[in-house]
Amino acid sequence: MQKSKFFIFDCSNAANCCDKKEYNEANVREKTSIIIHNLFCKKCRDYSAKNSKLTQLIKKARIKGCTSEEKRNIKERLKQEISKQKSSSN
Amino acid sequence: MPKHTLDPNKWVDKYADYLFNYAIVRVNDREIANDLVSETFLAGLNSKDNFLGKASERTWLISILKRKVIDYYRRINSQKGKAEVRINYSDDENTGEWLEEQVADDFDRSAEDEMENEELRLAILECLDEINPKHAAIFKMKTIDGADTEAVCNEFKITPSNLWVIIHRARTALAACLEKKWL
Repeated sequence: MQKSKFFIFDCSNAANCCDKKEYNEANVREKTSIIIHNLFCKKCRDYSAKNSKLTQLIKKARIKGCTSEEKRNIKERLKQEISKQKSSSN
Repeated sequence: MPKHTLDPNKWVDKYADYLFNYAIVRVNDREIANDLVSETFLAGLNSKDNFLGKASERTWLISILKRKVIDYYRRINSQKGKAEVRINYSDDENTGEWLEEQVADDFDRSAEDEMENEELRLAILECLDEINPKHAAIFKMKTIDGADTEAVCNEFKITPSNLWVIIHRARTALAACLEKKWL
């Protein structure tokens, strides 16, 4: 994001806080600062809107991932199979 | 058109989540979905000589998974009638009306919503596949698995400020990709 000085933050700081806000990790000062910054900066206002929309879409999609352990197990099985194939071809 | 090649060593990192999401919607059981994904990779490995390179790795693996899902349903349908059907809880730990709990569903969820959600889910995973793999892995852990900042930083050996820069880049890339594919 283009760096331009605004009321409290520059835009990169504002974008950073905006991302934190999406994960509920922004503190009150950061949240207030984003609101004030966004009043003056259209770019960051658009970014915030897009960012919230992205969070909504991700929640709506209800993505389920394999856990690291499940992945490790699959990798292990695959690895064994690869080495079995290699040894039989030699 | 470039000819696609197979790299089984990267399959799990690249496609496990995508295939898992595809499978879980169809079988609605985490363990079975995992088995199907695992079987898909093994079947892919065993028939890798048949891969012509006309489709992408992911498309090819999905086509194998589709067969695995069909085989799974054929298998369980052949066991129909043999299963014991309980209409109430048989142990002391669970109490209440089993039937009522099983049929209760969100009143505002329709089949169309489910289909749209599946398309969206796969579109997001496809987009994650297109961005920097490290960024995608960090983004998945933080956003999809809901891990806290400290855990992600420890896993990837990065500082919190690095993490937020990576998250920012991943979100920007993902939003741009979804704008093309979804919105």
